[in-house]
Order: sequence, then C-alpha cells, then structure tokens
Amino acid sequence: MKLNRKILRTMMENKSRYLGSVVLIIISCALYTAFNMTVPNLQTGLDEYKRDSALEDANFITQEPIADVESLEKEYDLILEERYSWDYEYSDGVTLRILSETEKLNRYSVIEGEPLNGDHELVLDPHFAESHNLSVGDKVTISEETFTISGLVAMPDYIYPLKTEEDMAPNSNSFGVAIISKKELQEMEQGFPYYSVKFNQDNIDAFKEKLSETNFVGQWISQSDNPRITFINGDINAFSEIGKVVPIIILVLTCMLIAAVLSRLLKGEYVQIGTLFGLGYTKREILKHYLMYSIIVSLVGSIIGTFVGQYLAEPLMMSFTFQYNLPILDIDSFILKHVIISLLLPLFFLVTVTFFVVRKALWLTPQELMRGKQVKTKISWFERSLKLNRFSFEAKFRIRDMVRSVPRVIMMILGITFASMLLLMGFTTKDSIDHLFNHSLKETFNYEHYYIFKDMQFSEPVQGEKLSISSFEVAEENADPYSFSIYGIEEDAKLINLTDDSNNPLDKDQVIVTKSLANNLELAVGDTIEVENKLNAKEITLKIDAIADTYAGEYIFLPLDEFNQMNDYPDGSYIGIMSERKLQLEKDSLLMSQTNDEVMAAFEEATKPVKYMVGGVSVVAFILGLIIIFMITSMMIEENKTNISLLKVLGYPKRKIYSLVLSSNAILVVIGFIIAVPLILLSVDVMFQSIAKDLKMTLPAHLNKMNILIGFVIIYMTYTISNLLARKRIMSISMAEVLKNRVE
Amino acid sequence: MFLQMEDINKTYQSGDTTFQALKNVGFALEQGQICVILGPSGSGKSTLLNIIGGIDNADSGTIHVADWKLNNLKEKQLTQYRRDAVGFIFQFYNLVPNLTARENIELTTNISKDPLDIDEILEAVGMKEFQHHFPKELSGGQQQRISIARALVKNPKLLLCDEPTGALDYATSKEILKLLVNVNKRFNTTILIITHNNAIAEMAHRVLKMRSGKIIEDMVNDTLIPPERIEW
Repeated sequence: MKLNRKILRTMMENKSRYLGSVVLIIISCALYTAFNMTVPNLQTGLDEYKRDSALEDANFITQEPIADVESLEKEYDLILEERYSWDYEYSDGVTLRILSETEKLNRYSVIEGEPLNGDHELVLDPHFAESHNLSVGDKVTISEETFTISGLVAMPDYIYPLKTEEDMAPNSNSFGVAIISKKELQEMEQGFPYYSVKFNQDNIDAFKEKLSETNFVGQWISQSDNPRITFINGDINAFSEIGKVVPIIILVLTCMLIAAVLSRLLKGEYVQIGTLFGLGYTKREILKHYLMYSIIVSLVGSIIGTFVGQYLAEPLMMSFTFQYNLPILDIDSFILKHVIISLLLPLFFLVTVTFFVVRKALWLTPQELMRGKQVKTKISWFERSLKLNRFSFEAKFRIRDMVRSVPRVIMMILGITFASMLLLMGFTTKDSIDHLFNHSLKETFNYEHYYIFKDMQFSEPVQGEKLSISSFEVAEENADPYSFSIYGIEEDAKLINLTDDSNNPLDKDQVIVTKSLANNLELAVGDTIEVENKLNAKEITLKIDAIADTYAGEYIFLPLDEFNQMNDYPDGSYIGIMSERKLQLEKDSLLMSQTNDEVMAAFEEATKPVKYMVGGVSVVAFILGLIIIFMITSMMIEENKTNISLLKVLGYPKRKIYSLVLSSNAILVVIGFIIAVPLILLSVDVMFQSIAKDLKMTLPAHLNKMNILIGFVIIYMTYTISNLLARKRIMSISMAEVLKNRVE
Repeated sequence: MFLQMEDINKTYQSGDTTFQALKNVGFALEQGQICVILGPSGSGKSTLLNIIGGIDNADSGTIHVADWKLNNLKEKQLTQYRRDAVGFIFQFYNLVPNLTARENIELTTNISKDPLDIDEILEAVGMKEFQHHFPKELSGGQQQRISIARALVKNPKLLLCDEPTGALDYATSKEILKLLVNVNKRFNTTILIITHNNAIAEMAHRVLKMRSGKIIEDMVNDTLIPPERIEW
C-alpha cells in the first residue's frame, strides 16, 4: 500500500516517542530472554554437575573410624567414602582446608590447569587462589612441605565455600579449600576423617541405626541441610522469581505505555483517517495501515531485545555464579518457548490495543473524523464539579490539565511507581540483609569466639559458656522434610540474647524457638512439635514455651541439661563453647572455630554482589524512569501544543510556560514514589518468603529512611532531566500553532 | 439525469436537542454541469454534500447518482461508491502530510479500478515540478491543486468541492476555479461546489441557494462567466 510509505516518516517525525517505545521493548525483551534463558540452563547445568561429580547425599563424622566400608556398601546398597579434612592455618587468620582426594564421591571438576597427577600437587578453589594471588604452577607450602598448584577446581560439596555450616557467607580472604592426594595427607598425619555417603535406596534411618550400634555419630549433615550445596538453590529461586515477574511487569507496563502513546498519535490522525474514508479506503485497509505502526514497533523492539537477551544470558549467568565455586556452565539449550513469548508478547499486546483504538476511530463517521471530533477536549462531570475559584491561575491550569488527561496521569504514576520499585528493590534487598545482620544476628549472638569440638566434652571449661548443637528434622507424619538446629545452652547463658516481641529478655530454662523457624513451621506458643535427631534418629517431642523475636537463623533453644537428657547424651556433656575472649584450646580437638570478625568479614564479602546489583538495577531503573517520564511528558506537550502556543502569543515568559506545563508532573512523581515504597516492601517480603525455606532463614523486608531518600532523589533527578529535555520541545512550538484550528 | 434527489431529510441529535439539517430537499443535475450551492453557515450545504458523496446517510428520500442508488446502501457499498464514483476536494486540502505530492495522488490510484495517468494529471493541475515536495513545502494554492489532482486521478463522474477556495487568497482562488472549469471541460466531470462566496455562482451552470435546511432558490445560469473575469 502506498499509504504505508508514511509510516516511517511519521515515526521519524515523532521519533522520541517511537524510539522510546522501541527501547523500552528492547529492554524488557532482553531482560525477559536473558533471565529465562539463564535460570533453566543454570538449573540443568547444576543438576548435571551434581550428577556427574557424584555428589554426596550426606556427610558424617564418627567417633571411631569405620572399618567395614565395603560390607556396609553392600549391605545397604550405598556408596561410602572416607575423606580427610584438615584446617591448615595458611597465614594469620587465614584457614586453608585441605581435603583428601576422593574417587567415588564429590569428584572435583578442573576449571583451569590439570587434575592431581603426581606427588606434591594440589588443586585449589579459584576464589581463594584469586584472593591470595595464586595461580596454576605456583608453589604453596603446607606444614613445611611444598606443593605445586596443578589446577583450579570446582568442588560439588563446596559450591558455596563456607567454613562452617552456620556461616552466612563465604570469605575467600580468610577461608579456602584445597585437595591433595589421600596418601600425602595421611602421611602428614593431620586432619580427621569424615565420611561421604550416597544412597541408592531409601534406607538412611536403617543405616544410621546400624552406625549408632557400634559407633557414635558426632555430626550428620544431609545434602539438603548443607548450605555449601543448597544455598545456591535459594538464590536460583529468587533469581527465577525475579526473572518471572520483573521482565513481565516491564513488558506489560511498556506495552500499556506504548499503547497509550499510539492511541494518542492515532487521535492526532483522525482527520487523515476521515480523509482516507472519504477517498474510498475501506475500514480493513485503514485498520491494516495503522496496525503496521504497532507491528513495526513491537517487532523491531522484540527482535533486537530477544537477540540482545540471548547474548546477555551468558554474562548474567556468570555474574550470578560469580560467588559460587562452579565449573563453567554453558548456555547451551535454546528455549524456544521463551524466545517465542519474547518475540510475540509485545506484538500481541500492541496490536490488540491498536486494533481497539483504530476500531473505535472507525466507528465515527468520516465527517466527524475530519472535524477532529475526538481530539476536542471533553469536559467531564468531575472537572465540572471542581470548585477551583480560590486557587491561583497556575494551580487551576495544572489541575484542569490533569483532570482532562486521567489516563496519562495514571500512566505517569504507574511508570514512576514501577521505576521506583525497581530502584528500591536493590536497596530493600541490601537493607534487609544489613538489618538481619546488624540487628538480629548481632543482638542474638553476643560471643566473639565460637568453638565446636570433634568429640563430646565433659570437663568444665575455664572460660566461656557451654553449648551443644544438633541437627534435627520435623518427624511428624505427612510433614515435609524440614531440618533445623537445636541448641542446648546454659540456663544462665549471657552470650545468647533472646527477647520477646516487647524486647523483654526470655528465661533460658524453657523451650524457645526463633521467629524465623516459628514462621516457616507455623508454630505458636503452646504448640508441640515432634522432631528427630539426625545423628541417631531419636524422636523427641517439644512443647514451645516462647518465641524469640529474632530472625538470626532457624533454631530451637533448650536448657543444656534437658538437651542431653532428651537425646540420651551423658549428663554434663557438651560439644561447643562460646566465649568473649580467645580460648587456648587443643587445635586437634576442634572441629571448627570461628570469630565474630570472620563472620563480619564474610558478611561484607557476601554483600558485595548485592551492592553491585543495587548499582546495576539503579542504572536500569534510572534509564527506564527517564524514558517513561520523557515519553509521557512529550505526549503531554503534544496535547498542550495549542495552549503552549497561545501562552507564547499572550507574552508569557519561557520560565512561566515551563512551570505551567511541566511542573504538574512533580506531584505525580511524588505520588508514584510514595506508592512504590509499601509496594516494594510487600513484594520483597513475598519474594523472601518464597525462598525462606531454601535459605533456612526468614528475612523480613526492610528499607532504611536514608535509602528511601536516596531513591527519591534519583527518581526526581530522572524527572528533572526529562523536563530539561522537554524544554527544547516546548520552545520549538510555533506561535502560529494557535492560529491554525485545523490540521493541514 | 446524472444526479437526482427527492425529499431528502436529515436530522441530527445532540443531547436533548434535535436539529433538522435538511428538510425535503430535492434537485436534479445533468452530467457535465457545474453546480454551486450557496448559503450561510448551518444552512445544510455540507450535509447535502456529504449525503451526495456517500459519507453520510439521509434519513428519508431518494438519491440517484449515475448508476448508483444511494438509499439504504450498506457501508461497504458506500465505500465502493466513494472509491469509484466520487472525488472530494476539501477546504483545508486534507493532504497526508507525510506523503509527497505525487504519493498523495498515488493514494487514490492505489485503490482505483481505472485511474488516469498521474503525470498527465500533474501536468493538468500544473504541479509536475512540485510532485516530490511534501505538503508543508507547498503553498495553500499548490496544496489545493494536489488535492484536486488526487480527486481527479480516479476519473470520477462527480467532483464534490467543499469550500475549495475558502482558505486561499484572491489570486490563488481564481487559479483554482479556473482549474475546476478546465477539468469540467476536459473530462466532462460533474462538479458540485459549496461556498459562501456568491461570486463563484457566475461560473456555474446551476446555482442553488440554501437556508435553514431548504433550497430556497434554484437558478439556471445561461450566461457563464469565466473565472478570470469573476470579481469579489
């Protein structure tokens, strides 16, 4: 159709709006594709890695070494492998965990270099190598023996390389993992043995009972309770939730915005539509022509966006897996479903909306269209009922302008709300983690040093407070398997601070559950819960006496004596000590030790990616906000063309015109931002809840006043920049505009 | 008769108010005639033109244009009628701003069964050298010439002109009127012009005067005056 020649020219004439629309579609399609390509590939890659490396189902420590590994394997149809672990003090405050090489389970993958192939070689986790400037071929001295780094490797049981299971985050500056041959580690006579097990049948309890008959199982960590393996699941879930929701919201909002823009542009073409009618063009021909606009905008945007998204998937995957110790996962599967959705969703939205707008226009008669009937401003009952006499002229002008363009006002508020939410999402995530750490964790655990022994202790410690900790799971019928830890603490323990909702200290002679566990298991005071000790499969029933107002992990606290009694442990026994000062303890007797400083450093390290994310998301939010505000502002200027021209003719100075036309949006920016604050808190709360069980902690959403202010300043800045750009447009409106009452 | 209408009535409803735009209007026109309809604003001229042009329907009465009977035509058939039989010329030209002069004419040839040669038409309206200009690069008179070319290129039997000189200065208006007379002679096109300008009546074969939705005077003009000699 010859008529279609005008499409590109019309687009060029209104390029800011069409280009803005295309950019918005590109951003949303790129985000949608990138996220939806990354998550399934990541999940598949991770599953394959776990399978190929023969990841353990559990690991455990026994008091005595297991002598009959092979017979146990046969009897219980499982794979059992002994492994040695030694925490070597690499330098002051830096621990390098030396593990012995395995053959059957937890096989490492080489990322760089070669696997262990000779004497005095070691392979290292790449984060530790990077933090300590080590590379393949370098020499490392361990206990006066020199080892050559043959390769950097990913270890399936140290995907999230935490020093202890209780740690919140890894810190490669102070902790790393290396693997050497079993023979060499044994020759060094260091470390202690532990076992990894993989079951082929559902006979875990029988196996545990068998072990407990002749041995004492000091620690049992199932794969599902091992944060080194499972932490990434929570992250993937959160990533997947964001990937499902955010790009779709951007896409829907974009489509709504573009639909509004297109419909306004179409209304400006009513005279032309009427003329085409008069010339004998059929409704179908006119409809086809105008649908081309939305088809072009949506296809150009979605094709480029989907293409860009495919390329973004890999860096996105890399940035996501950055803090994990994983082999290089490829984006190798092309997910047709998401490509089709990304390509067709904008087309579907825009074509549908344009179809209805054009069809509405085509219901009018040609002479109505040629008179530009719909372009004339209608005065609604609402506007009529407004009593504006006591307001200044400026206020009246702005109020009337808003009342007459309700859809535009709604779009503006929605756009600002969305951009603000995106911006605040990063801040909220960071503030929530900070809040959890600075308030819940620090207020609950007041110790500076925390020690866990390999074996049960009986002698009274010289300093510090005794504690025991054991892993349990819900033992009620039909309950989902859910694991958590139970602490046995002294009744007068001062280094664990538990308070009720009103901040009153709780007596420690009772059964106290943390709020995060109570929330996840829906427990209330007075409820009873049946739990099973994962070490010896002993079932116990606990009545909840109090809920502590803390989100610092999922724990139940019991008096130590009661803990021992319930678990059939000897009276007066304990497994750990917490202390305000460093204790002189036999290193070999310790399973692990940790200082508060290490936790702090690890936390700082772990929140770094969040800080980068906050920065990245802020930039995207800024760009989106700018495009949205700019598009709506230019739409508003276009609608106010005659008024602006008239104001110029009447001799209004530039500044007054800017203020009359542009400043009415300021209030919309404020409203949009105010709506965004509770909405983002609610959304982040929902997101945290959805990943709470994977993360083994409840994270209440929190947003600092300072960050709300910073967020507002950023959003207001986008508005100010957009206004500056719009001024040029206002200046270009000719004074003759008002003199023309018809479109030429 | 080329055009014949009898007892045409048209009423518009606006809120609670009813406005009768045409009251029992009837007249007939021979092929090849130029007819000027005069009358003040609100007299019903535009409504009459729209009904003849098939962009509006009469409430009652009959209309025949050439082989077309316009009463009770469905929308599709009316579109076909506009496409095949009628050319429109508007007061404000209504050119598509983002198409060149030539492309605006092609807009019509694109949907016409048997269009005339565009170059010939551009020559006839004296716009060949401006064919690649966009409307905003043309003067009002030039735009109206393109508008006439766009209407003529489909070789319509009937040319309907709504205040064709209403937005033009004296000299340009005369040029456009001269062009319309030439078209009438060259293509034997029946032309209906509605205008406020009484002087234009002097170049028409028939003159109808309207007031309050009625034809109050129907005159046959035997002494045609060429446009260049008309003064106002």
